[in-house]
Amino acid sequence: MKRSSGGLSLAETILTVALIALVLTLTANLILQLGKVNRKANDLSWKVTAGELLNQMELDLHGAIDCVPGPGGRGSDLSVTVRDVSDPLFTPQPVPSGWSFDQPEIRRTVRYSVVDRKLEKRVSTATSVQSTIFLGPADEMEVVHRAGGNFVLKLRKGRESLERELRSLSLQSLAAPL
Amino acid sequence: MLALSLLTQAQLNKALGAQESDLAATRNLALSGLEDFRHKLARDPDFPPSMGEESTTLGYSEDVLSPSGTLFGRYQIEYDLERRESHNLIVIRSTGLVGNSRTTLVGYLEDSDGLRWLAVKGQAD
Repeated sequence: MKRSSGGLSLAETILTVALIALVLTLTANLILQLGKVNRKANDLSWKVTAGELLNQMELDLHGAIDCVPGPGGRGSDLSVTVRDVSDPLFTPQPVPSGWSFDQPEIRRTVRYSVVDRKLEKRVSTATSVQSTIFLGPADEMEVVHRAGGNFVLKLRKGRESLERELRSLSLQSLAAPL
Repeated sequence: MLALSLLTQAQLNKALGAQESDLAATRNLALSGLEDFRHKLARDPDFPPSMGEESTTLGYSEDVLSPSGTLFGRYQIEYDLERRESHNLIVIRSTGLVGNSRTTLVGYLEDSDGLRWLAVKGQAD
C-alpha cells in the first residue's frame, strides 16, 4: 500500500484541532473576563461618584434648619432648608436692628430627587428656583430619618448601591443646646 | 492574561475600599473637631484664647488615638473671630487627617445661648 506524501495523518489532525480548540477556549475566557473587569470598573466608578453625591447631601444635612422627611419618616426625596452663608444678608454691615440668623431671606431649600435616572439638586428661595443641576446617574434614592435623629441615605444604580448613615450636626445642636 | 485581569479587578476593589474608608475617617475627624470646639466653648469661659487686635484667626490641633493607643489621625482647627462681636458668629475650619487623606469642613457657629450650628460647608484643599 502506497503511503500518501502530502497532508496530515489522523493523529496530527486530531492534535491540531485540539490545539485550536484550546486556544479558542482560552481566548473566549479572556474576552469574558475582560468584559467582567470592564463592568466592575464601571460599577466602581459609579460608586466613587455616588460617594461624592452622598457627601453633598451629608453636608447640607449637617447645616440643616429642618428637613423632609421628618423624624420617623422615609421617602424617595430629600428636602433640606439651609442658610445661604454667601448671601450678603447673612452677616450684613452695619447690622440692622432686629437682624438675626433666622431671617427668612437667607434661607434656601435644597431638594434632592431622582429624575430620569439622574440625581437632581434643586436650590430655591421662598419665591423662586435658583438653580437646578443634575449631579450624576442614579436609579433610585431612599431616605430614612430615624426617630432617634439618624439619617440613612441610600443611592442605587442597577445592581450597585451605596448607603450612608449620619447624624446632622446642626439638628443635633438644636435638639441638644449647650 | 487571565490572572492579570483578575488581579486588576482585585486591585480596583482594594483601592476603592481604602479610599472610601480614609475619606470617611477624615470627614468624621473633621466633624469631631467642630463638635470639640463647640463643647470647649460651652465649658471653658477662657476659650477661645484672646488675641491681639492685629490677628483674628487662631488654631490648634489634637491627635486622636485608636482604642489600642496608636495614633489614628488628627484634626486641625482654625477659628475666625472677626464677626464674633458684631454678629455673634464664629467661623471654624476643621481639617481631619488620616495618613495622606484630608477633609476640611467649615462650620458657622452662633456664639449665643445653645451654640447652634448655622451652617456646615465643605472646602476643597
